[in-house]
Amino acid sequence: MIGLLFQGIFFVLAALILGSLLTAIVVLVVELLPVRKVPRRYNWRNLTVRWKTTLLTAVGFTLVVGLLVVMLAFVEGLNALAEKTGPAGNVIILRDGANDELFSDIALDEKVSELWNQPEVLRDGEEPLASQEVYSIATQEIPPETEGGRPTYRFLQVRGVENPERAGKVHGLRLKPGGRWFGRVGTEVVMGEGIARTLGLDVGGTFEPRPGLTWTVVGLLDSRGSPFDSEIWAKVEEVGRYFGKDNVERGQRFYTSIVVATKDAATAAAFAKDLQNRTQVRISAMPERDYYKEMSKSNQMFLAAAMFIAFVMAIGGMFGLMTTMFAAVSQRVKDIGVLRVMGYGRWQILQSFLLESLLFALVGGGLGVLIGYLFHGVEQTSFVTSGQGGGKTVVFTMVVNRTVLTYAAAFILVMGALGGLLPALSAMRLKVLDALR
Amino acid sequence: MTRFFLLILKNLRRNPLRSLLTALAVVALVAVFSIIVHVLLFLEAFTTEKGKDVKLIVNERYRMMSVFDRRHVEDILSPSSPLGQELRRVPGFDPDKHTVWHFIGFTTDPEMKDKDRMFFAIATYPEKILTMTDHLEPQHFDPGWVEWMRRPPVSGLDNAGMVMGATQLAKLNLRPGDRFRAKSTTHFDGTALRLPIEMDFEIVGVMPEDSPWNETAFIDYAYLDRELRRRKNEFDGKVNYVWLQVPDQQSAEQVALLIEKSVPELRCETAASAYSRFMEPMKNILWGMKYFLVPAILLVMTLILANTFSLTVRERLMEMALLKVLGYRPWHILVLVLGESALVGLLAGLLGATFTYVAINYVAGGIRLTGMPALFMPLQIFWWGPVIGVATALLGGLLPALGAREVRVAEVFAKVA
Repeated sequence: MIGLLFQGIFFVLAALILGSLLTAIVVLVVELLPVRKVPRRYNWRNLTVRWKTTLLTAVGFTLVVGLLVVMLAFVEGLNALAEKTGPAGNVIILRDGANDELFSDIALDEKVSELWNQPEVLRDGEEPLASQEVYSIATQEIPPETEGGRPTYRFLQVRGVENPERAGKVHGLRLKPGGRWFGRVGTEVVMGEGIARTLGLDVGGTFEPRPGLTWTVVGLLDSRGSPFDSEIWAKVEEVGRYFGKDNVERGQRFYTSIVVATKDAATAAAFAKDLQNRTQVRISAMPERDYYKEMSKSNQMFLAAAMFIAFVMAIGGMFGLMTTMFAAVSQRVKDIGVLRVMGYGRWQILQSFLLESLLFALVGGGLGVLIGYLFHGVEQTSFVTSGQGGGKTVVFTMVVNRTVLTYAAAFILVMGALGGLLPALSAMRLKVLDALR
Repeated sequence: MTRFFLLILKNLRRNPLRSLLTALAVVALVAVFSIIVHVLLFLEAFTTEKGKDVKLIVNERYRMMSVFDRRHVEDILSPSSPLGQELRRVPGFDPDKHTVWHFIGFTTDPEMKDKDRMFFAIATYPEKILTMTDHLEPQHFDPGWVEWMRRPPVSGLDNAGMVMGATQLAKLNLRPGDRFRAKSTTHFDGTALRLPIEMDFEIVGVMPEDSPWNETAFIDYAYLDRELRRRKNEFDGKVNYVWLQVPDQQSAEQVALLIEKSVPELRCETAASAYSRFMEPMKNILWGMKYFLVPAILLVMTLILANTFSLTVRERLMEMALLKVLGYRPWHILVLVLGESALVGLLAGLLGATFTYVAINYVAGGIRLTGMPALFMPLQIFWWGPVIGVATALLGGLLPALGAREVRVAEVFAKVA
């Protein structure tokens, strides 16, 4: 019963939104057609003469639309991460039953090489284009600010890689000029630009992820906008031993994930599906982009929240506009009578008042879009998760793209049309004699 | 006073459509404001240090996926260990107020592929669940379940009782009394094949949806410990967290220092401090909500009210002038306009609060945040909704009211003439 009620409400709302969008488009199209209509100057003058009301109403729109654009830019930025995970042909291999690298462990035994010695895997010279990795999260201690105070801690995302240069090739990442990949000796690392900024580090800088372990930064990854921007890459043994699941007592070593490169997305999907049939190692393989897309599903929560907030605020803004437009009609009853006497029809009156309402929305909303656009490219930090307790902190940039602008435009038109429709209808229905009396 | 109130009511009824539209705008904005503020306060409560009955978490110091030897727990609790002896000297430290946590991932899917059939369980001491689990209230956990966790009433399997949250239980399509086998997605046997550990469980209790733990499960640590030993798992004898409870912040500070000094690879911190670190990636979002979104909502609300009342005042200049002729003082006019505005704000705020309360608590079944319990609107919304409505209404009505106060009788009548 409640389900039916919700379905009913949903359909009514959808019809209302589509109807008003259509109305707005029709009004704007008619405005462009060479047909007789109330002069545009009349509406424009009304907006400028009553500039205080115009300003108050338009600023409300500016805020509502500006917030919508900012919230959607945030969600789009998170969505874009999945596209920047590297080549579409990459396949990520985890331990069977694991949805997240954090909970995966593939033992390093004689069978593990079966996972990358496969015909579909591209070659890097003589070697397969595969990256064997240990992903974990270190807790770095930050010394107390005052003497005798307690230290604080921050999470650092660390990825141990067997061969950093090849890992870079697999993930489609290069180093920024002035850097180099780390070698087999020494305690050197490379890191994403985002985390380097957070830690205030550059090439040549050193830091301690834990006491007794000093890492020297030898390169910065050109990783802006990718999920690797917040990662530190180090030697696989160091990460496995200090932050991963390697068990020294039992002599066990593990990879959390293996990423292999195939030629394209179709090969990746087929290879991921078939790999388990070719090996005794219990694994779960999937195209890498699917893995990050799955993680990005937590963004849906942000999207739903953003749309809800924007929707409710839009209702507020729309009622505000309706108040203004009803006042405009009541203050110009005589004007309407005169216009009718001059030969303008009911539909032209409707068109004129709807246009005025849309002008409020377009001016205010347009300004909101411009304000929202200021956030394009702004760096943000968020968290994506597979929903099983794991997850990943990501540094990303907010994106105001065509999708965001389309949403904003639709929002502006719907709010403008809905806010103006009832007042315009009431203006249209006025009788000439009543209006002039 | 009564005369004023009646006049205000009369004025609002003169243009019911405008009053209604303004009120509806405020209702919508009070609703979204209340939801956002409540979410922010809820998250803040997680990261605010408690004054008494402080929970401490002992975990591995330099790795988020904390795993450490249980002998450290024995060091903390034993009266014969040097650390245990020192801790006993801290005022209010009670070794009995502790528990251990060992996380284990399971799936009920034999193929281990279906994500929806995977869940995490916390292996702990059943008798400590109610007292030592943060944010678990007595109405969420029936003390009778403790015994059933040790000896489930249907299967009778030793220590195989599981208490699960309602949401998780529904996802797995299980019911109280169901017995099932689950494969671990995180713990494997010690053989070369590393086969998943399989365990049998019986559902003996269900934590309600409004419990913070409604997406997780509790199992008896004794059962897991036994299985890990039997299957030669690498986590045998290890725990993820130890929880301690001390009476106040001062004791918490002393206990933390002693533990960290004695076992450098462990960190001991308050639960609030640990939650803060987990919230760190969301810092910007929360900042944006607090200092950008909330003020913007209030501003839109104020603008709408200001617009409405400036229109109202402009349309009633003549009436204001007449009132002045009849002996009303300027401040009477000011109060009249502000009173209209405040009344709209009050009624709309109350309506907005009622709408939010019903919609969130009874229709939506709470606000769902990833990894958090379902969040329900508190009864306090019935005072803060109207307060916000009135405050923004007074702010929005102030300029129009000041304008109305300044109306010059001669000017208005001159225009009419």
